[in-house]
Amino acid sequence: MAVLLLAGPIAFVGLLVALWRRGGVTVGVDEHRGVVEIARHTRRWRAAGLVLGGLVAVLLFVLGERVDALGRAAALAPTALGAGVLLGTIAGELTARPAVGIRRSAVVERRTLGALLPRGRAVVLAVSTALIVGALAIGAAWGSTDDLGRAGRVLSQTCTVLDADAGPVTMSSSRGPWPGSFYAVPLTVALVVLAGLVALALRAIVNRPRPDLDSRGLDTLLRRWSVGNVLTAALVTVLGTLGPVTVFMAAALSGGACGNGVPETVLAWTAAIVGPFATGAAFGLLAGLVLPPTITVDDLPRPQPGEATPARAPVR
Amino acid sequence: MTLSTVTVDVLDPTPPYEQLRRQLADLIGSGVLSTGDRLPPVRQLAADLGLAAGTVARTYRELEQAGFVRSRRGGGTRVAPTAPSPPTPQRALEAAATAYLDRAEALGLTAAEAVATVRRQVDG
Repeated sequence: MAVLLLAGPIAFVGLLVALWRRGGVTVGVDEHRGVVEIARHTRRWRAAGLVLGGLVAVLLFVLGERVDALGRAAALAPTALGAGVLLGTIAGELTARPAVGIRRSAVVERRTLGALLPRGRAVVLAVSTALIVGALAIGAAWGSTDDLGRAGRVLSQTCTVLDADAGPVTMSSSRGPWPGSFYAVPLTVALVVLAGLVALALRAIVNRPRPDLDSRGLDTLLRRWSVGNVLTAALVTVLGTLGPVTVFMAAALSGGACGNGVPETVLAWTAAIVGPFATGAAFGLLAGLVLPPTITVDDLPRPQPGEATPARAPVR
Repeated sequence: MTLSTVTVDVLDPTPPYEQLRRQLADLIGSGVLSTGDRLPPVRQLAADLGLAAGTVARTYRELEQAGFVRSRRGGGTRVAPTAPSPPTPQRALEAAATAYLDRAEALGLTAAEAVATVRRQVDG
């Protein structure tokens, strides 16, 4: 509950940022038709993927307990959402075919992902991926078998306490759920599949045929937006997984019978900070997926030079 | 920065791979594409031009055989360090003659009829 209280404001800020930074380009009714058509086509597919992924994520979250009462199905909800967006992106980019005429032209250029990648988002994704890999690795390494024999589901600690009457007493405690191998294995498999989908989506975006040469700049911008959306979908998944994982880590590391050592204390504090922030950021970035930048077609014809502009008509 | 572009006309009797080969050879011969410049991947150029990948692959193969480019597995296709020297007048005339015969064939004429047409033009 406390996590949601902390994550809520962060998600709200994310939504405001998404609305504020929502870019877009307005073109005339007869301009850049090829790119406009591709933008609409890919947006439809991406939106369908988002809806489908969102639906599966909600089903996993709400009904996942019927499949696995211990939360492993629910833990895959962020991956389902991200995978939906990525599959929609791949389908849209692979099926987008600009109209070809009798005379066809192409630029002698080698399109690269590096020219399309938003650096900031790529760095954030790399850091987030490193954090989730680290968290799952530590979780798997420190996890223990629970009382029903499920490996890597609890955090067990053993210590010796000096009792005034009984002398040295060995105490042990097991707290969970702990993101050990019980959860880390399915999550790792899901994240590897997601990484494969990210690679496929980026490849599809870079290789998509160019429409007419006059629209080259707008086409490159559209590709940048698409690459940005792919990274955002991956970020939503990684942060949406990292948040709960670190929150459960922080919870399991607090309040045990044995005191924490330095590594446990550092991990507990780090997880307590990262958990709410990652969860909130995942929700905030979701707004960016729902409200991506778009190409808007202005229905009003462009005023000719010297022509009086009609009242309230956009002046460009 | 000047854009290097290639254009293919699908109604032109010259096959698309040959149209593409000539234009790329011209770009390399005139120095617009310089030594080490990387050509687009076959699939990318084919998709941009709405052609089959095999068509562009044939163009690249012929350019490589003529010494204009070098292909390396995993390294793409690059402009060769020593591109062939510009064609001599004789070679240019031979190329024009080949194109003329191709055009005549596309129009349903035999080579003999094409030569006779040239002769008539010269005589008369």
